Amino acid sequence: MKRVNDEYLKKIICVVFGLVFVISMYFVIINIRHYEALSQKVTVSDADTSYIKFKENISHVENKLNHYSDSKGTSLQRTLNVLKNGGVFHLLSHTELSYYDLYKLNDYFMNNVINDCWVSNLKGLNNNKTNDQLVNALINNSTYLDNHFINNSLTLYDSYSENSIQNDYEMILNNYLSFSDVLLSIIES
Amino acid sequence: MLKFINKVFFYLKIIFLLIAFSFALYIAFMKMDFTSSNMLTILPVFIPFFILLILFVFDLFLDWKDYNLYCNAVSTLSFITITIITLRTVFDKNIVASSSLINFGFYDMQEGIIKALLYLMIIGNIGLLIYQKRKKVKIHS
Repeated sequence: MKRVNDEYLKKIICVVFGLVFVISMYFVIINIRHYEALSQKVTVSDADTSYIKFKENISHVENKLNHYSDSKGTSLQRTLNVLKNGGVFHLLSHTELSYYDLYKLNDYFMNNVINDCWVSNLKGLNNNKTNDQLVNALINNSTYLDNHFINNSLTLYDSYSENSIQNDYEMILNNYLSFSDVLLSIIES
Repeated sequence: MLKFINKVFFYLKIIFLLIAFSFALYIAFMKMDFTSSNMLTILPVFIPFFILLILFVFDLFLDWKDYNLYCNAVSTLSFITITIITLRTVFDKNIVASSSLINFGFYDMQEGIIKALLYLMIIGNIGLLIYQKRKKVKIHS
């Protein structure tokens, strides 16, 4: 095999390292952009109407639960504990929520609020078809959000816009608010 | 001054190689554990890092430190890139995963690029060793 000329060898080495440089720079830049996009935070305002309404619903439920002492009351109390104690209030009392906090809130909603509370406790107590339809819509919203968060983690090339995190936060808060409305309607029925 | 910077980049590339290697192996072990696969799945991760480590140790002992500053700097940059990717996979909380601690999909998406960078550097470093050896032979003859 003909020996490669020293000059050609030097050029090949320069081209190879040039390729390494270009690829590395590109991936450093897109990783930095992706990190900045996911590091956005959403500001939680105490004046947020959905948040105020959610807290009001929870306190109404607490007041009305005093009238129940049977198994229905136990199920309702369990649901209330899940809504209050799962770090939901703790997270929502922060002034800023990160992308990870929103993911945790949604994950908690899907696994604890829907799967534990609705399926195990409340579905049997519900007589209203509208509540069933509403909870199904909340399940769809929550599943969409879960896929949305995971896809954004994986998508390096599309940027996660500033409005997206605000929209995701509002959607999660509305899910919690709607579920608290369902809980209140079951108690009042 | 340039010799000093060259030396700094030479040692930095080895440091970042070791950091990137350890995190890549950690991710490979976690994935092996999560998917319950065997040790052979780690080999494709292990081999290119190991070959590069051998090449760099070879340079250290054979006193071929007068590498091109460009090659040392580019190698350092590429290992920094691999380190950023592996560190983000392990430590960035915002890269969420539904069923495991680490989002393996994020790493898998960039694993091809990591391998491409490593194999290109292997080719580049072998070419550089041949070139340096020929240069030394010419100087001595």
